Amino acid sequence: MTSRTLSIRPDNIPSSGKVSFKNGFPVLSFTIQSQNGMLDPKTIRINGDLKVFRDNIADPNPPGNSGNEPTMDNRLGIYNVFDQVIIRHNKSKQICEHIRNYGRYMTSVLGVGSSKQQLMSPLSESCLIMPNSSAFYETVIKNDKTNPRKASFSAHLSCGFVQSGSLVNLMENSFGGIQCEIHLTPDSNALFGTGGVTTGIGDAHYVLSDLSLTCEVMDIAPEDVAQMSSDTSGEMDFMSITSLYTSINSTNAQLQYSLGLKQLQSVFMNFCPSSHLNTLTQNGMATTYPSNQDKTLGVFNRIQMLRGGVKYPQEFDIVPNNKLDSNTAVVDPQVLRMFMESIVPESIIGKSSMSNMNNNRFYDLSSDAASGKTYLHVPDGGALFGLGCRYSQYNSGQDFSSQQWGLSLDTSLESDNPISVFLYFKSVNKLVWNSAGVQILS
Amino acid sequence: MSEQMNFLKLSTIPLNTEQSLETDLLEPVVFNDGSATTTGFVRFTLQRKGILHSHSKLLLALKPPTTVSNGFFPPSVGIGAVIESARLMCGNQVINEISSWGNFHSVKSMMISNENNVEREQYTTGRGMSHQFIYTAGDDSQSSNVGFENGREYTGTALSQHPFARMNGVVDASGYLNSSESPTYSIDLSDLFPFLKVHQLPLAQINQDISIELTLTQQEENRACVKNGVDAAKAVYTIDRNELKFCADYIFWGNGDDFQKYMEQNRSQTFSFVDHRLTTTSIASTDTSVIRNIGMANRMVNRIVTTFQNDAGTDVSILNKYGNLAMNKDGNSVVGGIEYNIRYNDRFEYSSNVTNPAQLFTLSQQAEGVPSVVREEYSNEGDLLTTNTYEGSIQNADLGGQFFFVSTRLSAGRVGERGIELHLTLDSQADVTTMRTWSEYLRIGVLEDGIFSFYNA
Repeated sequence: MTSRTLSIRPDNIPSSGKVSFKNGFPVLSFTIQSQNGMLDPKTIRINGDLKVFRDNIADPNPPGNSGNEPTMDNRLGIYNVFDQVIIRHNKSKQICEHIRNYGRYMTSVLGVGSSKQQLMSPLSESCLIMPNSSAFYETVIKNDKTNPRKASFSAHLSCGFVQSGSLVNLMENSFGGIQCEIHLTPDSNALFGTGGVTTGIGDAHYVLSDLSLTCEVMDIAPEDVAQMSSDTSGEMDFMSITSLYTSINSTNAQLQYSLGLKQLQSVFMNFCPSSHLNTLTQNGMATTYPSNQDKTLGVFNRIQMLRGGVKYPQEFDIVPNNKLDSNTAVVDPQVLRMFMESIVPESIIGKSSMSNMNNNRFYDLSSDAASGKTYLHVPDGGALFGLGCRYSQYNSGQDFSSQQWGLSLDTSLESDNPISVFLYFKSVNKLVWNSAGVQILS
Repeated sequence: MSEQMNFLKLSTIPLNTEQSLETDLLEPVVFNDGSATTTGFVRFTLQRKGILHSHSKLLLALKPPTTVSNGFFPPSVGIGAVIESARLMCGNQVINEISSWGNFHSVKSMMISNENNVEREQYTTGRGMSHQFIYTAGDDSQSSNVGFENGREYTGTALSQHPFARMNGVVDASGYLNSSESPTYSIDLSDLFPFLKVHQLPLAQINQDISIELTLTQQEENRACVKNGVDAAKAVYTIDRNELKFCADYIFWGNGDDFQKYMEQNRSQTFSFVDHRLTTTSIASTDTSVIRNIGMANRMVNRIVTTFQNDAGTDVSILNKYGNLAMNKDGNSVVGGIEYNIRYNDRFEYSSNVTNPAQLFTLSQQAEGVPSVVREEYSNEGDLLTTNTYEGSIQNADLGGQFFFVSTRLSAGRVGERGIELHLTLDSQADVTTMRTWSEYLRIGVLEDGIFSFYNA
């Protein structure tokens, strides 16, 4: 079977070819048109160049060597600017998959699922990732106005539809084309000042250029066209992410959702002070512990995973090590293991950048580098905290279609400092399609 | 025994089938170490018994000259630097042949993870590319640079090789020959001949001599490196004849006459395998536009790998001549451009030339595997590598932009009569001398009544 590599320009770029959230282009859209071919979604890559500027004058200045320069979360690289990823059925424009808060999803996935060497090596070339904030700033963000350097990327899209392993029949009377839509992250959330203030970087923004989507499409042989075009309906299973957001601000936090998901594989969540979102003074992508108003870390004294209000699958309270010894700086190993398992099952996890260097309670939530404890300087890629629970051992999942999913947390959050919680539910979805459109069955 | 059992395909063999192994240490039947400026030659002839295990090993060691006290192998290829080309022969027919094998091996070695290199390969093959952050004194979290890692601590800004890896030719006062302590490394048979990663040779069934022929690199300069500022350049390394062996593992399946029955039932066998054809082109940094026909007309070509090298690379460096050059980086750290495309069957592989180095990296990753190299090593972008030294050589100068290659999976089927054309627009590094392209193509092997015959698919 022969194939072709397609290179597709965005549907909606301005004549300059430069896309910037600040300058009015918050959505990036690529359409893989219907054609006589089979798309291999795994080969989809988003390619381009990234540039960051500290102001928004006619000829903007790049970040340099001052005390406060715009930068991004180093573990995410180019994924900092992907806020939402949507895969649409092109004919009907119906959504096949939609992941919100994509950056925060990816930071947990990349941290747990990739080793430090992987983050430092192949992912530095393809996705501009670097597991050290200083090295990231120096090699990706910092630039020279007279002799600008490129920061090229060619990023894969980590989502269920793309990674399903199924080929998509692009013929007009079959599944047809797909549209890949990326909502860009607001500059104020993608960027933050290295000095923790907005001085001099109030109009900091990023610009994407030379954008393209590349993918591989296998040709359909002339003798197979008739048979393949009769393929007018079908279904495909893939592991999808349902993303939800909430906030907690009390010592007794209760999270309850009617998910309607039949095959829930796992859930994981990461935390961020709500005051850190959409501000240039803080890194809104960091996955830290919750914190109190005085920037000290908050802890969990008891964790209960619930189904229908009953403890499940752990029929006991999870009591982290800080309950017995509040001075311990080591993260509770059971909590850590559950979080890792919820992202990559223990049986297949090969490498991880999770370590006691990036998962401890040695840091605080201040952005003051002089304190020596700032969360911005946590080694091995930055803080990598989260909670999680795996529900499936053999990909069969657990049925949460008729019972509520719940989480009960006993926390030490005693001050008024709302903490944002980003939840990601991994479940097996069935995409059913015909000439009229698509439907997702969970 | 099942009629369908095929001892050459592991998946068809029941778990309870008895297996026995026999290991022979074979001496070369022909050995010529070459000279300072000419290549050497070694031939091993395998015994015709059992099935040859694809992970049989070639064992090699070098003896450094008395002028060298700190010799080491380039960490990107290890002991592979000694092999110029590898050829597997059946009678007088060539089964598999790879020219410029050392350079080819430098590309394949990038696919080994850094962790595996530092924990295993540097002890078994001498390869050891791995990375670590270089922290300034007093700071354990912020680092602007990445440096070479081999498991040892830096002394100030200098990293040394492991004591076991050091090749010391100095004769000490008591007359002791330190060179006898040089490390012995191994090369996997399936690294020499990649098709053996998925096939095994049924030696007992073949009535012809199977031999491994290796061309050795010249003794002077290209076999190993020396410590910068300490040892004299152009060191002449000779093969330690006592250590040169082929460790052949022969597999026997079943008990009694199972294997004999298997051979009788399978007197005729056909299999397809891949071979690699090298096309070498001399280029200079002034050659900014290159269109090169690399042949392969009427062949089933799976993929091609293109690299750029400085064949005049010296031994006073970290990588010797085994670097793969990226585009040029000027004094302002701006990296020159590249445009890449290939044309065959009257069409270009890519609808527009690929100019994005990260995309070239991804394409190469899809064709070959995941290269474990940092951004500045691959594309020369970003000033990430440290100015610290490894064995006296400055790392960012010797490693930056030295791990670049482009690989493409060909998607349009059999190559037509015009062959494959490489279309490149380059801003090469000043010291580039050679462009190499290996084309991986399909061949068919037919074993009939103990006689092998080969033809192109």
